[in-house]
Amino acid sequence: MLNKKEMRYVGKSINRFDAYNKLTGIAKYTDDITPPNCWYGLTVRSTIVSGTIEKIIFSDNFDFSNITVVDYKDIPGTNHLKIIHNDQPYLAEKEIKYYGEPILLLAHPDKELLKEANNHIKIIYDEQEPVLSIDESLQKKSLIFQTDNIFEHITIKKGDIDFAFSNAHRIISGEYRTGHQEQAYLEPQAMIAEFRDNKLTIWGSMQCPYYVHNAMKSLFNLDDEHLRIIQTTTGGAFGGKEDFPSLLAGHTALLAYKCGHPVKIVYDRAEDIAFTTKRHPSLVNIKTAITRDGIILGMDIEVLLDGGAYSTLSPVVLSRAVLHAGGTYHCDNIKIDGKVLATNTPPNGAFRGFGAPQVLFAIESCIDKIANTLHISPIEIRLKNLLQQNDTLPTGQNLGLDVACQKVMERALELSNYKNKLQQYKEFNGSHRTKKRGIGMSSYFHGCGFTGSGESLINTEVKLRGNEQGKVEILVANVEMGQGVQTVFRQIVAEVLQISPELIIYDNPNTGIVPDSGPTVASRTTMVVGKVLEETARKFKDYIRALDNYYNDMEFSGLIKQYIQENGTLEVASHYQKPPDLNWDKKNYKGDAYGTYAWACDVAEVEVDLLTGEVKVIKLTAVLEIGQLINPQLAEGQVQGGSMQGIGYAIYENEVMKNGKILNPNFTDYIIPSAMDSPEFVIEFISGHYAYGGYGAKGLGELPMNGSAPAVTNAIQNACGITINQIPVTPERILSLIKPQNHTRRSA
Amino acid sequence: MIIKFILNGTEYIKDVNCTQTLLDFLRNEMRLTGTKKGCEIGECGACTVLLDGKAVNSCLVLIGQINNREVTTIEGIGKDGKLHPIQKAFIESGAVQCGFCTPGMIISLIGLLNENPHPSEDEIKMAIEGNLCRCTGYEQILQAVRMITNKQHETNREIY
Ligand code: FES
Ligand code: FES
Repeated sequence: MLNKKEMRYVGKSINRFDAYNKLTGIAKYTDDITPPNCWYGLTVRSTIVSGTIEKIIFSDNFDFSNITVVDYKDIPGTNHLKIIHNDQPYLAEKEIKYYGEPILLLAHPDKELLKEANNHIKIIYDEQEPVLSIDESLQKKSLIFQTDNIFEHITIKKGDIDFAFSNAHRIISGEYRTGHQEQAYLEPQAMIAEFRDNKLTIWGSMQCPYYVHNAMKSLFNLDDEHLRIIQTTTGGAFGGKEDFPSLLAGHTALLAYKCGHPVKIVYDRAEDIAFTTKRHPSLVNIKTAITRDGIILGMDIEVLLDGGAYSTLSPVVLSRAVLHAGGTYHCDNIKIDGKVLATNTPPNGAFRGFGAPQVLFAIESCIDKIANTLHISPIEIRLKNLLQQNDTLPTGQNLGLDVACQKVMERALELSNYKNKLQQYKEFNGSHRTKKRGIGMSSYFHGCGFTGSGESLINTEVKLRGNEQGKVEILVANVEMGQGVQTVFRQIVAEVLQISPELIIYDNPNTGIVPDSGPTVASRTTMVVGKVLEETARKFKDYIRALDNYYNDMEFSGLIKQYIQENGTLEVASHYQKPPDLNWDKKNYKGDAYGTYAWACDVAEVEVDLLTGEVKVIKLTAVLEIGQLINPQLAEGQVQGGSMQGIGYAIYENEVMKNGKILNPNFTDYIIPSAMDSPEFVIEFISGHYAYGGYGAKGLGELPMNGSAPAVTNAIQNACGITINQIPVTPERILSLIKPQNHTRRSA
Repeated sequence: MIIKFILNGTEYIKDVNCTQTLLDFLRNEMRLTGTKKGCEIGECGACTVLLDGKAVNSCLVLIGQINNREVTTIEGIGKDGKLHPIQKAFIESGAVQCGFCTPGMIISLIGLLNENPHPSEDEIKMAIEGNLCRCTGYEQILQAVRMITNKQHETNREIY
C-alpha cells in the first residue's frame, strides 16, 4: 500500500464545501442569474415525427419586427453538433427526424410574447412514415441513418461458442427489455450566452465545459481566445448534462449573436422531459450453455439499443453496454454482439451507468432464471460462476488480483441476513394472502473511466496555482454537480500538501482559465483526474520546497508568497499518465477495456401488494469495493442516490412514448421516487486500492445505478413467483403477470 | 392590485400584477432566487415557502393570495448568518448534493417542525413527500431530521 501512515483528510467524512451556499439560497444556478438587458429564448420545434419542411409561414396577424428569429442560415460555422458522427444539426434545414426537433429560435425580452409569436408560426411539412422501434429500424422500414440505420455495431468474441452450445447440458435463454429513463435532475437545462467585443461567453448548467467550448468553436468559427464557457452551480446532471448542453448553448449563443443582447434559455419541465436526451431503451437476448454442474460454458448475447434520431454519444454507450453484458461471470466461450439503431424518437444520450444498467438487468435476471431452471439457489449459481482472480473478461482482459465480486457478495449476504430472511419471508407469504415478501440479489460491476484508449485521447491536464494570498487554486475543468468533487478534490490536494482544505480554492470552471481536464463523466473524476491532481500537488510541494511536513498553514502560505515574490508566478501542471501494461485493441475489441473495475452486490427486500400490484422496497443492502474511499459520507450519498434511481428504473419510471411522442412529460405521470419510497439502506465498503487512481480510488458515481434494478426485480420474482423480463415493472404490469398465473393454477 | 404582506420579516405594500405566481414574484421582482423552479405545477416542491408558517408550493399561489399574510423564503431562515438547526444538521449528515431541492426541503421541514417538534419517521417522510430529490435517495435528509428531533427540544425554540 502506498499510504501506510495515517491520513489526515483522505478517508474522512469532512463536510461539503458547497453545502452552506446551497442551504441558504445564496448559490446561484443559471436561472438565478439575469444579466442586464437580458432577452429570453424560445425553441420552435417540429410537430411531426418524420418528414421534410416544405414551408415556414409567419402570420401577418403578429408583429415579428421586434422578435429575433434565427434559422439554420444564420449559423456562421457548421450546422452540426460536434460529438461523434456529427449527424445532428443545431437547427433542422429540411429534414425532420423526431417530434420536437428544433427548427427556429426566437428571442425577445418578454417571455409571454415569445409564446404568442410561436403560435403565429405555421410550418408546412411533407410527412413520412416514421421508424418507431428497434424492430422497425432493423427492418429498415425507412432509412434514418446511412444505409442501415445502425449507428454502431460491435462484436466481442472469446473462445468457441459453437463448442459450448454443442456440449451443453442445458441451454437456457431469456429476452429482456428496458424502457426509456429520464435523468430528472431537479434543475432543468439552462443556459445564458452573451457576445461582447466578438467574444462569446456562456454560463450554464453542464458537466463538460470543454465539450461546449469545442462545439461553439465550430458553430461560430471562433478560436479559443474568443470563447469562455463558465459552469454555473449545477442542479443535478446524471449524464443529462453531458452532451445536451452543447446543443442548448448553441441555440442560446445563436440568438445572442443575432439580437446583440445576452440571451437566456431555461427549459420548463415538460420541454426538458420531452426533448432532451434519455437512457437508451434496450432489447437484450441472452442464450447460455450450462453444464451438468451449473457452470456457464458459453454465452451468446445480443444487445440492441434504441439510439433515437441522432447518434449523440450512442456509439460509446453501446461500447459500455457490450463490455458489461457478460456481467461478473467467468465464461470461456462468449460472443457479444451489439447494435445501436436509429429511430424517429428524441435522441438518447448519456445517463449514469451509460449502457451498463440495461445489460446488467438482463444478465442478472437471466442468472436467476438459470438458478430457477436448475433448481439451485441464486447464491449457488453465482458462487459457481463469479469471476475469480486472474480470470479474463470477454475481451481477454486479465483481471489479475483486482476482482472483488465474490467478496462483496458474501459480505452482502451476511449483512442482509439473506438466508434467514428468505425463510422468514416464505413463512410470511404462507400466512398472508394479498401481501407477499421476497428477497433478491444482484452482482454487478462498472468499468471505471473512459473505455479503452479514451483516457489517453483526452490527455487530462490539471494545474495548481499558488496565489498572492498564499492559497492554492485547483484549476480543472471538472464540475461540481452534486457528487461532491469540490470537497473530494480539496481533500486530495490537502492530503498531499498537508494543509487544511480551507486553504484550497476551487471555483466553478471557466474555460478561459482552466486547462482541459476532460469531461465530468464516466466515474472518472476522482479516479483519473484525482490521480493527476495528486501528482501535481506533489510537484507543487517540491516547487516551493516544502520538503517536510513540519509546517503549519501559515508557514505554507508563506512559502507560496515567497516563491511568487522570487519567480513572479507559481503554476504547476501535469498530464495524465497511462498506466503501464494497459493495452486496448479497439478494432478487435480485445484487451484492457478499462484500467480497473469497481465491484458491488445488492440485496433487495420487497413487499408486493397482490391487489394493487404495488411494490415497496423495504430494505436495500449494498456492499461495494471502490478502491480507497476519499470521503465515506459522500460515497454513501452516491450509493443511496444511485440505488434510488435504480429502484425508480425498476418499478416506477415509465416513459410513455406513443407514435414518437412522449405522453407523460411531467412528474405526475413520470414518477420518480419520493421520500415515501425510500427504503432502509445498509451500505458497506470493503477495502481496496487502485494504484492509478487518486489516492487509490476507483470510480464510484455510476456503479450504484447498475445493480439495484435487477436486485429489486429478482426480489419481486422471489415474492410472487412471477418472471420479469421487462422494466419498469409498474403495478399494472405486475398485476398482468400475476393474473394468468392464477388462472392456470385454478384450471390446473 | 395593491397588496400588503410581510416577507422575511419586513412589511411591504406593493402594486403587483395579480396574474403572476408567488414564485415568479419572489424570483423576478423581489430577486429572491433561493426559491427554485423545478416544474411550476406543484409536483416537485423546489419552490416551497412558508405562508403564515405553513409550507406551500409557491408556484401554485397567486400573488393576490398573500395579501395581509406572512411569507418566509429560504433567505429569511437563519438570518444574521446563523443557520437554523435543520440547516446545520443537513451539513453534518451530508444531506445536500446538487442543492436544487435543498431550500424547498429545508422550508418543508421547518413547516413540519413548527407544528410537530418530534415527528415520527413516517411524519417526516410525509412532510417531504412533495419535495422531490433526485440526488440523495433521501436517507441523509431523513438522518438530518432525526439528528435534531432526537435531541432535546431546545433546538426547536428558535424556529419560525
Ligand atoms: S416549482 Fe412549484 S412544485 Fe415544482
Ligand atoms: S440534492 Fe439534488 S435534487 Fe436534492
